[in-house]
Amino acid sequence: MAKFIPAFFVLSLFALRSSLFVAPVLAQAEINSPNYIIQMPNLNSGAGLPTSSNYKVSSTIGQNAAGLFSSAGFRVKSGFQYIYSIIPFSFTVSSTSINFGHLVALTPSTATNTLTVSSGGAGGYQVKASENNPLKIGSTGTTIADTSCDSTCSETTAGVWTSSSRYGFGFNMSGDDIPADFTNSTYYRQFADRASAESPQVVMSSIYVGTNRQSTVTYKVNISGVQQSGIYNNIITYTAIPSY
Amino acid sequence: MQKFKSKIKSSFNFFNFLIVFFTFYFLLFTFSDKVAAQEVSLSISPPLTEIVIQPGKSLNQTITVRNDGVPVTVVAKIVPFVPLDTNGHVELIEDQNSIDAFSSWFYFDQRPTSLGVNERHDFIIKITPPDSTEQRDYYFTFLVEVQANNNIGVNNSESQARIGANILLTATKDGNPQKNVSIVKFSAPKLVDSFTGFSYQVILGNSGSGFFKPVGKITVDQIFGTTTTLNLAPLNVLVGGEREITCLEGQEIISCALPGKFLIGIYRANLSFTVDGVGESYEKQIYTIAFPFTVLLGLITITITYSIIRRLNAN
Repeated sequence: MAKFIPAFFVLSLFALRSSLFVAPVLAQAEINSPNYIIQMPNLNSGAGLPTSSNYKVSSTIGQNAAGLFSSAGFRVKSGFQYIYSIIPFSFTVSSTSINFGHLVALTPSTATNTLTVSSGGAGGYQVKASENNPLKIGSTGTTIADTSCDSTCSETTAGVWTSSSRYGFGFNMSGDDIPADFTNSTYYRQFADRASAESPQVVMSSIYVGTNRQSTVTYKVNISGVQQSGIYNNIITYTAIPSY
Repeated sequence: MQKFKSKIKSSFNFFNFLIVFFTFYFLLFTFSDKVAAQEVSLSISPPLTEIVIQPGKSLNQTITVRNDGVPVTVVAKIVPFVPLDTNGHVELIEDQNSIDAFSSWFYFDQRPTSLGVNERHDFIIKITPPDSTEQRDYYFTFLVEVQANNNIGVNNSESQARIGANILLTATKDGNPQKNVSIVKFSAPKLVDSFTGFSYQVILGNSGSGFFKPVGKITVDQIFGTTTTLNLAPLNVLVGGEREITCLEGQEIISCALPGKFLIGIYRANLSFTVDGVGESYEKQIYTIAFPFTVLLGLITITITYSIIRRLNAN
């Protein structure tokens, strides 16, 4: 009997591990139609069509229906009419801390991270980016200005930035669903600077359903020989929102 | 015999050890969710909520946020938005005055919330437009923001993630807001080469007081040929905005492209839809002619070239 104890132990561990992955069931007053979830107050789905003094209820639940239930002064639909299940919208930012290391004058420093989006409906999504302020020494307020590239670029339009005698901070994008002005790896933009009341700018967008749409952000810093020494930081905010 | 028995016993114990060891290894490394260092990964559901409500009434809506990355602390807020473009993208209105104007409408937990790996949190939002609310549409994004700070003592940028879910709210006393529809654009090239193909573009406008979805199709009749049906995607057209309506195949959003590798003849396209699947039908018709221009041009070029060569040879 003792010989079988390890096997029993392993089997029970396996059963326990498997049970931990069962998705929890959320309690809600809702029914699932083939099209989307309809949330209703006090519904007994076998009780026929309820009515109220405010609304006449017309509820059809079927393959092609846009059926709604209204009672108690409201009706709610969650999800998208043409998608059979509620698909979560997801967003991932890898390597949230982008370290530039020790900055050397006239020697650009680069680092990357990736943005990944999965959008199951609504005709797509968008991701916008902005910075709280230019790279800055917190204690003194000294900044590394946003780049103007080799000749010109802004938070809305990328420009070529290859010269090591052009200073500043900017970013390039490559991969899925990126703006068309990032023609190749030499094109950079400034981040929209919220401290200067600049509006966040779109860095990824699509009008289609997509899974694991991924782009790579390349950050670049280049300083002059007279840049004040210190620790420069800022925060880049990425906001991912599905289409409506 | 005793030695033989003890050899068997020790082999069996070793065998048991191997079973336990490799099973642990298998369970730990094949079923564990991989979380990359410093990777922030959030998902939100449902991504869209549509509400029609009487001013003064209340409802509860649950929005679930799940963390698939490193442990984070998140804060939620509700921000109004306006349409950014004709593709269903939003422009958040994040000035504090605009947010505060609707703060009394929404009651939910706005304290920082910690989310461990694979942990989810339900934000239960009580929505109550005041009695005095003007009867029209109001659009919001429920925004979840990962708290970030950047004080790690090296030159760096800290990436902060925010994820949103949209809430479309129609305040109406009778449940039937007015919906004024316009066909801003229904177009396709008038003349195309037989080998290039083409797509239909549909843009609808809304000047009413409630958002709507078009329910309908584009029926394309090839004169003396086949009929093709392209189903419109029931995308929301918001008040005061315009929306480009794509087509739908099953659950997939696709462009309204006429299928076929070779098109020839006259194509009559009829756009037909109703608002939310009820009421009067809106219609518009356009024509496209497809002809093998490139082939014809090629033949003419060859003929002219041949004639010139013959004349030169004759001379």
